Amino acid sequence: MKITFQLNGTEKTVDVEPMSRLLDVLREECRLTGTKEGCGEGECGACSVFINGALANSCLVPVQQIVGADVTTIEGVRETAAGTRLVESFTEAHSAQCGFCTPGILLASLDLLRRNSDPDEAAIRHGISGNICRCTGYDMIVDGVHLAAERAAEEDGFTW
Amino acid sequence: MKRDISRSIPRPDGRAKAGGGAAYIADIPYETALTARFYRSTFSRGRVKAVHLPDLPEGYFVVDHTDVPAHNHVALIKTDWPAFAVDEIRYKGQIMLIVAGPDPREVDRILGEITVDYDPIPPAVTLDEGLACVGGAMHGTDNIYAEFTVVKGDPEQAFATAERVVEGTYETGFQEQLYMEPQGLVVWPAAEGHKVVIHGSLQCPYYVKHAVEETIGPGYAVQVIEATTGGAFGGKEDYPEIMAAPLAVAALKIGKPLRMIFDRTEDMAWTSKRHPSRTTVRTAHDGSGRILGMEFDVLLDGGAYESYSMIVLQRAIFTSNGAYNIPNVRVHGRAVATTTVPSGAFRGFGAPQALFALEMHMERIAGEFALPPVALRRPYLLKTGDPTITGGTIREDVIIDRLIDKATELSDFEAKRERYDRDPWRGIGISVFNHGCGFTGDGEQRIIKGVATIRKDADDHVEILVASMDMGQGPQTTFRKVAGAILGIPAEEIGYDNPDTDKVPDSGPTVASRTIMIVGYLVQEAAKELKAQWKPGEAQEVEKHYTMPPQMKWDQETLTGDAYAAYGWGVNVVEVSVDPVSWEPAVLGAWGVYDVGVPIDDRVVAGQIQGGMSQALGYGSLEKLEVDGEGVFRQRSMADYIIATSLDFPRTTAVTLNNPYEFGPFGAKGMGEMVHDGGHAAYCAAVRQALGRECSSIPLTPERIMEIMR
Repeated sequence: MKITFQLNGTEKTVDVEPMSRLLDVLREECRLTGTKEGCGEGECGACSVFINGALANSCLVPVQQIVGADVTTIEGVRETAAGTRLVESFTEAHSAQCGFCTPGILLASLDLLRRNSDPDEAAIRHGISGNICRCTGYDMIVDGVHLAAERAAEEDGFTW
Repeated sequence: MKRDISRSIPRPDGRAKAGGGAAYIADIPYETALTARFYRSTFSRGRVKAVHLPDLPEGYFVVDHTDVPAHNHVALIKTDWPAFAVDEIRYKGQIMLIVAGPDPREVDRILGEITVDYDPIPPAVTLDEGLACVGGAMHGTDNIYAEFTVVKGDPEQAFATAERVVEGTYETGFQEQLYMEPQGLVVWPAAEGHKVVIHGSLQCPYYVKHAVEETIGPGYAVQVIEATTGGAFGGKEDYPEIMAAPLAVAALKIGKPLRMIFDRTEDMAWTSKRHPSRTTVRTAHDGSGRILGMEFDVLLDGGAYESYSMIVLQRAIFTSNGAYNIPNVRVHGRAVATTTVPSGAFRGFGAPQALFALEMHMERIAGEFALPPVALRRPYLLKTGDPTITGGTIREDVIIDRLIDKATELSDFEAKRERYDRDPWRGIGISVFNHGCGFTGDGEQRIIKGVATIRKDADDHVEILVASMDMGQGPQTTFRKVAGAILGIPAEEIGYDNPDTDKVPDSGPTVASRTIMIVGYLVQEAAKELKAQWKPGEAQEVEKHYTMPPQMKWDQETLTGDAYAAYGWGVNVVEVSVDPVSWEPAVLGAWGVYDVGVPIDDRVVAGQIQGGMSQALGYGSLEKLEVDGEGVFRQRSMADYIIATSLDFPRTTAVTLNNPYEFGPFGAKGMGEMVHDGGHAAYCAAVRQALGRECSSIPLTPERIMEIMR
């Protein structure tokens, strides 16, 4: 089945089975491997993407559900102003250790910052609570989001 | 200089990881690779009579033990674990065959049609069933993989003169490493079938190389390349060998690249876990509560093959006295064979089990004699020059008393402890511990013989060549900083690739809290020599080999002498409340104060402390992993094996006090494991105070608390 959708701002058509997981289509058909498979059952958030602006676990989404939708992966975010801000802050704050969960957590953080550009620690912890990290104990991820929010607040006209 | 080296730099590996550009093994396109999967035994224990295969479509392959060119075992510490099962099955899920082919669904169909005729044997699932040799002994005549006794002073005399004896039994459960990236390897034949190349998620490139060489024999070269590894925690110390040995056999037989990436279900079900333990501690006391002597008897559940059980047991035994100098001690330990997935390496490697028993016993003594927990511990704290339980000497400066002062001050421990003796359902607990850095005894010199190389090319670009890898714990940052600080080059300009055994020397495995202290020291010394010889515009190379610190002595036959060259030291405090209706405990505060020598990077070290504390708190409170009657784990996914989210524990206050170590780079010691050594015990001590009852078994879940309070 041919499925057409917007991928990182560009129209994309793939020929796959309709029940294929969006995760597999992104990784295998589109060769976008920044989206990771950690659990395959929607528990860990490593496969997070935006679908029409809403954060979703791509391992739980049959590709037929995204016909005509706007899908944004880490590859579509990392070079934007917001993405660069988060990548740099995460790097400086040591928010990534092994790094496998990090693209997903970066997208969850962006989702949070779009709704709340000045989150406190509790809001950040809530915002990333759908994503599992086994390395950091989350404290330095919280630091990374804080740092990104602080830096953004210092920049005139910055929007997430 | 020391202050400079500790000041944190942005992680050199941070951008690629945060932006999704870092290439883990499943991200690398091996277009021509066949999908390879294991056929695993569907029964827990028995003897294979016949294996029935379906007809294979063209291009599909089945590989078994008859295809092994040399030795059908995986060479770990021992060689008892077969690469492919022959006729004996010791645990459900044991690897019997590899099925490979182009279409994963067809591979799965073939796997589903394989049947095996067998004679079942009753499984020995629990420690007690293993000790009782249910179904007959699986290992030797008694199911004991390893047994050691260590004696210090005269424990018999101590117990003979005791006015009181305090006894307790302490249990810890399985723990799953749950690295976020599941296991995965790609293996292919090269050099016209004379070589095998292994690329994947692994901690110990040379362990994999040696294991595969032994399985396929001397006629083949073996190259191992580490792909960026998404967490390991010990779980990628032994298991990549378990996968690589049969995969190498299959790659040689089939003549094509094979790709094996586990999904979470397969990874959780069949890869090695932390050894469960049961430890009985007895202490002899005078009338005031003073500890005259101690007996410590530890049992570890080793699972169906020995793997690393012997050395995990040694680590447990050598850590059994923790940070204390107790005059008269007898420590006895056994590792037991059971019909479960073989237990393996996990951050701490026996120490978290031993320290749980020791520290919870300290809490019991504090209760028995109504002594404050810190005051109880202080008289026994190890000092420089004190004897260890193996007849060695503590040679480094010991600042454990200052660590305790700092931790109790930051957490307001004494005031809270006193208050919570009156206030119900609140508690605060402390744990005090140390962790030997590097391999036990003379293992670094006798077995590992670590080598590190620093090379510069004609453009004066400097590269670190070591087999140590970054699984998240930070050498991409810290090694570059060590070399860069010596050579006066910004850390991020120093080269350090994921190790490839065709390019780097054998620095030893990335395990045992040895990477910074042992290999990092070699990097520092090589950098110093390169600096002294530096000739601009000329290619140069310096290689450094490990030598034991001069005063260190060890006798492997009698296990006497200095079990470790140096120790990391730590104090953890955890504060909790317990809901008296739901019995849910809540962690309100967590503090970790450590002597790591000198941190090479403050945020790398604090990140280890916070992440390790979170794992240890999970081990103590959330991470229940049980086996059923067939020895199979009941918890099968991240939905039912619960690890901490960002909401489960508060921020850990992470602090280090400087205490430079002579033979570590810039004074640094190992610390990657000890951050998992004390959080579970401090948590249980806090819950114990909140409940006013003994808590001697983890994970201490609400269900367990309900049973304790019943």
